[in-house]
Amino acid sequence: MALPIVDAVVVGAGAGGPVVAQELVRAGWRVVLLERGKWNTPWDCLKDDLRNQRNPNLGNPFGPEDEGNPRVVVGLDGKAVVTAPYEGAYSNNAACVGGGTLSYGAMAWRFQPTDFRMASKYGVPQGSTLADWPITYDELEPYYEKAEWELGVSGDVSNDPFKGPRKKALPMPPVTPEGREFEILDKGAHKLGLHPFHIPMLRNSVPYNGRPACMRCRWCVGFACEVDAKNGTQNTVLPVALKTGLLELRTECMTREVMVDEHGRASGVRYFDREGRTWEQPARVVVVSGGAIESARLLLNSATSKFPNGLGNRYDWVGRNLQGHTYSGAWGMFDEIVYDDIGPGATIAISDFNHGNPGLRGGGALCNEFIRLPYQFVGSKPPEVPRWGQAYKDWIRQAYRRTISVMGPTQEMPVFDSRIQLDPQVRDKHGIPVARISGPRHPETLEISNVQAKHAEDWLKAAGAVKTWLKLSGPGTSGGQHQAGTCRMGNDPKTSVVDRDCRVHDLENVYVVDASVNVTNGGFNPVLTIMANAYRVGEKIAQTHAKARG
Amino acid sequence: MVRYIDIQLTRLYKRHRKAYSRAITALDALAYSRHSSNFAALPFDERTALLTSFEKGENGKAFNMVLDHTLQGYFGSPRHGGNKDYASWRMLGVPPMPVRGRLQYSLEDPASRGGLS
Repeated sequence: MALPIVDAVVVGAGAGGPVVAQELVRAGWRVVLLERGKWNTPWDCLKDDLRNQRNPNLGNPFGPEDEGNPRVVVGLDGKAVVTAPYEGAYSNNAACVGGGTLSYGAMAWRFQPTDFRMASKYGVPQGSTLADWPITYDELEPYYEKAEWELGVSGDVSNDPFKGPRKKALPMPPVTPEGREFEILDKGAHKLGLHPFHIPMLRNSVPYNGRPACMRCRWCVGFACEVDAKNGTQNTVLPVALKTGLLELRTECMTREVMVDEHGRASGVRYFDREGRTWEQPARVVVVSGGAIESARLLLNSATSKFPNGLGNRYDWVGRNLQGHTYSGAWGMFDEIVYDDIGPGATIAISDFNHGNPGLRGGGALCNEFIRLPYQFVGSKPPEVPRWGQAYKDWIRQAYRRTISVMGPTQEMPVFDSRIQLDPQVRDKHGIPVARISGPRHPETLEISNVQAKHAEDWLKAAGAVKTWLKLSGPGTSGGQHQAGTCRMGNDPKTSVVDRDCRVHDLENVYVVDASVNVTNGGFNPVLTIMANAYRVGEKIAQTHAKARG
Repeated sequence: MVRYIDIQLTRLYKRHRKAYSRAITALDALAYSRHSSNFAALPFDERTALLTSFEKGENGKAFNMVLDHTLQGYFGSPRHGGNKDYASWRMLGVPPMPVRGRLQYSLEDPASRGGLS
């Protein structure tokens, strides 16, 4: 069934979609925002350590549902496995209003200027598609600031000498007191001549935007915030945009495809509502914001006779260069009790090793971890401790409150064959072909992440750890919650999917706005960069298509 | 802990039922071949030794699954049937859940929340 035409339809209410929607509404556009998940609220915060977005052993409370949403994951052995959202290889983020921003840990990093020009800085390693972004840090800077102030970021990065230039401080101070781990690691870092600072977080340290400050509980990353002190798109830009009456949000609506007319222009999208009925939403502009796996899947699922390989896929780049972050770090055991039960836990960071690792391309930030709930801690043991039995129990009893974990996201070297395709057989509950994830991480990524783990270990030792051990990563498929790269932004249509304004090369009115467009993914959590870019692109779309509106 | 696994085997872990029955059969077969007894009837040390062989042999994957489910039951939320009265949390010294109302709360000295110095 066809609906009345709107100025724009935005697919996906995660980190990017609602920001674009808000910018379009600001320009007076009528916008429909489609989200396949539900709208959860703080009242849906169930503090369940076996059923959350971080540990979905018993399912994902914020989507996708256990059944009917499979993906296929091809291991390094070439074996294809049908995978459910509660399994690690699925690379789930979330499927709900706010997307990952409802339940994330909320680190609010700006990438560094060098992160946008990795190929120029380091050269391209063999077997990698490393490239510069077509935009610079300076172009994104005003939008980073806008995201920090409109959504709300706390922290203090003034002591980070490696950050890019910024005009304005963060709107909120760090949470106080920061906790025992901060004090211990702060001293250790200074001993090594490192430059520790307060992690920027999309979390209220003081009341902001009419919502309260963080209550410092131990249930943070993976959970919705019980007191609504965590700032996602669902409690910031979205309510503001909805209030204007120009935005309509439709939840539990799964987009089937972008529709393209005979002139090769998008005419809207076709989607299934919660009852499985098919609707057509005509629109003058289509914005795809489903996350790096689902956005690529949607473009591929939108093939027509004019675009037989899917939208933007003339040169076979859609779905390519799937990245995430390779996490590595170390654990340190202390004589004294270091656990203080003051959440969120992660408070201190260093950026000393984002770049400048001798002979290596990049690196990443290192931070102390969020509070490890007991089940999250069970795998943290040193290699010589057995996995079960009395010796294990003795160890965990000793270690739980005496252990600090430092780790960080190593920036990955993009690999062309790390990719999203459509699976030829498996379909979701609506009958739509599902994403098929395959390909390795680059060996140099692993090399860098191993060096990062050593840096983490050194830091812990300097902080007084009496025993340390490493957490290293393996070479398996990338993606994960920081999934990125699958619709690369670039000036050359032969080696990218969208242009510098995130418009799909072949189509004048289709945009991709999420981490899919990230050429590289920084040595940081990518959410603030997604939001900043969404502000930038939203503004650009409103300017470019102003005359096209009826 | 056993209660946790029993409950989950009727829910999301239905998919593991076959693996469980295969693993139990294999473990009993191993116990019979070594001690002419089923596994459950053996003393603690024999059971530990058997599990150690079981872990290293061809049943390693099943062992890992049961171990992970055991850890979930023992350390996870009691609402799923294991970790009765937060027994494991008390063992680790994790303070009890602070009682705070939704949307109204205060940040207190953590020591006053009990259980932690």
